[in-house]
Amino acid sequence: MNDNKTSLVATSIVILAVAAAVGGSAMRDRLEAGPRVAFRSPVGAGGIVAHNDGKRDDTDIAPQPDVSTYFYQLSEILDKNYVEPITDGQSLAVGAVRGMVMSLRDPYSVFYKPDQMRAMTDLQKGTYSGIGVEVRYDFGSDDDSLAASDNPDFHYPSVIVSSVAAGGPADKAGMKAGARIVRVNGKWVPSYHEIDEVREIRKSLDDGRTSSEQFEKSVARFREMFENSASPNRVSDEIATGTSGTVNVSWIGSDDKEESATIERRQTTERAVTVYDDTLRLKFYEGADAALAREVKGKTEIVIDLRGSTMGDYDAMRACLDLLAPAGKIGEIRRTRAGLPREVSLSQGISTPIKLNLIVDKTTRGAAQVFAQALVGSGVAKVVQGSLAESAPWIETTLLPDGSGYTLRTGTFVASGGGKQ
Amino acid sequence: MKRLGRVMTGAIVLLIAFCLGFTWKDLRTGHAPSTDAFSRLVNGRIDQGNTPTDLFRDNYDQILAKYAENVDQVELRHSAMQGMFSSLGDPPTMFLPPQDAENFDIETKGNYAGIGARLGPDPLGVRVESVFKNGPADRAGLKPGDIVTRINGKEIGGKSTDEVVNHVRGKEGTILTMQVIRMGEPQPVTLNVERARVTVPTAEGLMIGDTGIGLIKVDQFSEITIKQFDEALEDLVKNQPRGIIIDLRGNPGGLLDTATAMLERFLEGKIVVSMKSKSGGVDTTSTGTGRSVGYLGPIVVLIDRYSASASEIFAGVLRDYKRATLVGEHSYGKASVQGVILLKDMSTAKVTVARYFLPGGENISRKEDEDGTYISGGLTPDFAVEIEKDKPFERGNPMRDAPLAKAIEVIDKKIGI
Repeated sequence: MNDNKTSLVATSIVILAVAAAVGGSAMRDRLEAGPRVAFRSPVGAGGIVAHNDGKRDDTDIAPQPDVSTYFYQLSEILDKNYVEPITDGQSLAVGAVRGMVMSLRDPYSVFYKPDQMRAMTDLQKGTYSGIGVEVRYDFGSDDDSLAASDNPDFHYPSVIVSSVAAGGPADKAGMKAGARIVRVNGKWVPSYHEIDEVREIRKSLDDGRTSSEQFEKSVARFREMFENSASPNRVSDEIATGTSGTVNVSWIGSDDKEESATIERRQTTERAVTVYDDTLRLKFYEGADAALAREVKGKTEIVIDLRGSTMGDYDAMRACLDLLAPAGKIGEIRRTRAGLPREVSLSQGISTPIKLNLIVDKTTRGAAQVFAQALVGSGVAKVVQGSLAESAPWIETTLLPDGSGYTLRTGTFVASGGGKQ
Repeated sequence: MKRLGRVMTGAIVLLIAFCLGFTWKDLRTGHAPSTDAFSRLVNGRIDQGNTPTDLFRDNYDQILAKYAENVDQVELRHSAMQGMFSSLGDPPTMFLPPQDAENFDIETKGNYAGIGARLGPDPLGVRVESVFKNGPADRAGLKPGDIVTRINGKEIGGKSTDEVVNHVRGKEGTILTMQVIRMGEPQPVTLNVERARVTVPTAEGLMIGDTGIGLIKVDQFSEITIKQFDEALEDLVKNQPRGIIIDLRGNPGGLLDTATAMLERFLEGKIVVSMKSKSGGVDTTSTGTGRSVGYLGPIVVLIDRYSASASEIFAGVLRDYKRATLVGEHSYGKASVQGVILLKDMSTAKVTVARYFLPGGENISRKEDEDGTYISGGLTPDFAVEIEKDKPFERGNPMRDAPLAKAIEVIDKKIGI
């Protein structure tokens, strides 16, 4: 070959090689972005980045970008600029999910880290970790309190024990469902209660009903609590997860008295159905329906105690309803936003229902609440002790690939027939 | 045959080029090529939705579709991005939605009509972190450590610091009424503050009573600080002090060049910081020569949890070269540089692009948990002293400023008193 031809061939090979390299890179990007990201233009040239020398132009109204593209381009910005290498794109996505769930500021829509999620799914099988309690956060419903404010900086829910595993360490220490946790391993758990208390004392100081020493004392105590505090998340970790070691806990019971104990952490398994004095204590764990079926066989009337029965497994709860209520519509899930309510109905049901007497209180929540309302609504049950709310939040759970997950309140369950007692 | 050989060579070259392009992402950060990505390519699973973007989008869609209440799409997206950035666990790396971004802008400009005080978050309202000398708040009697609970009669507990600051700033000459809880004061205190143009003061010095010890308070590391610090230092050195205390409490930082120029008065020709950026390059900053003030006595630097960035560099460098002792509480833990990227929808992405390392090699970067609670970071003081909670605090008065009293004691011990 002559020289011209050689250099032509060489040049074209180089060009083709460069094209192949660029093609490889683009293919990789496409793979990483996924099918939803439109063939993206590089960041800074038609992407999401502004390029007007940093001056903000208030008259510029940017069209809302496609959400997937937005996420992808931001993760590219981090990948290209962040001082340490970004090795785990998935944890960025999980972080984004956490941000979204927490922004709802809804006590029933909560994000759980992997070990918290594991503890929750174990709980649905009746296995408790930690000291043998299930906890929930109470954000308070009083409009004047901080909890209802729009401030994302300050959110001080109180940590409430929603159920206690029978025979578990917390049960043995005398803790009961409804207790409020106030100290864990020497750290305070301040909540909107304490903040409201300071405001109350200050108001009464203005009115002359309290002495200034009292006020000063309460402020000093308040400061100390906040400076040495554990977040609600930390409290959950300490008392509801883990199966080794001990934890020092102080709590306030229903009698408003503060109690303390050093309690061990271990696994405690609770049965879905336990019988005491002709009463069935029912919790909606996997397999609850099988246990329930055995107990109700041959009976015409039973008492079911639903106190301390909380989140639980909604599927197990529906299977239990199938044993006790007639087939057909039992209620609907309503939302405040536009759209028709979703019907909830039983496909199997029972033709000759047993007479049911229910014992409930404010620790009857979640699946148990729906259960009780559905039964009362269909006329087969009445509440003989305690009072039942008129509706119950309907909650769905999502598990994420890294083991974390979240609950989402998707509506309010209202039983047919009103659900009133 | 020869031709076939050439074609094969060509094909292999192209294949290698393709693979290099495909794995460039991994190679440039020093990782092995991703076999996972390769297998996805080979299996033809290009369009399967299991990327991080898909994970995010699936859940975004689910929340939007299924949540019990109406959800604002834009706010949901912004919350997602905030969560994404905070998942890195690096506090200064953050996503700022449009309204937050605007507040941040005003803050960095610094010159505005207000009361002349630095405010921080507190459950009961806002906490006064520092009061600018001779500013409106100072003249009205506001003190560091005060908790402001009411502004113009309204409860501010529960509002964000940004929101409160918006109420505090306003027209020059207008009056602001603040109700304040102060330790040691049994009743809440009411103050009337007249707003005025505020410029942040930076450095001033004095001799402490008859101790023979000099004190320089430095509030910020801005351009004019170099000259102010030089003047204050030279004045003190004339008095031949037994020791010098430099108070950096509440000082959020500023310019590295200012800190370096100030360090030059004590250390000549020494490395101040190494800056490591993403590319792996290391840049060092050093003090020059010829500016030493010629002071050889003991130096104590006072730091607290608000001392950040240039403050930590100044204090840390003096400590690492054994030229000063640190007294107070751990500092903030900000030794990094952020790049700011503006987005078309007026949001801002702030990303840490480099970290500073002190001469001793220490990385003082702050770590927080997902609740935003401090885990670790900052300089550890040689002597940890807390401000007494049950007594009124008066900064600069050794009788009512426990860390300052300790600093004086440290100097006395060093010279054998």
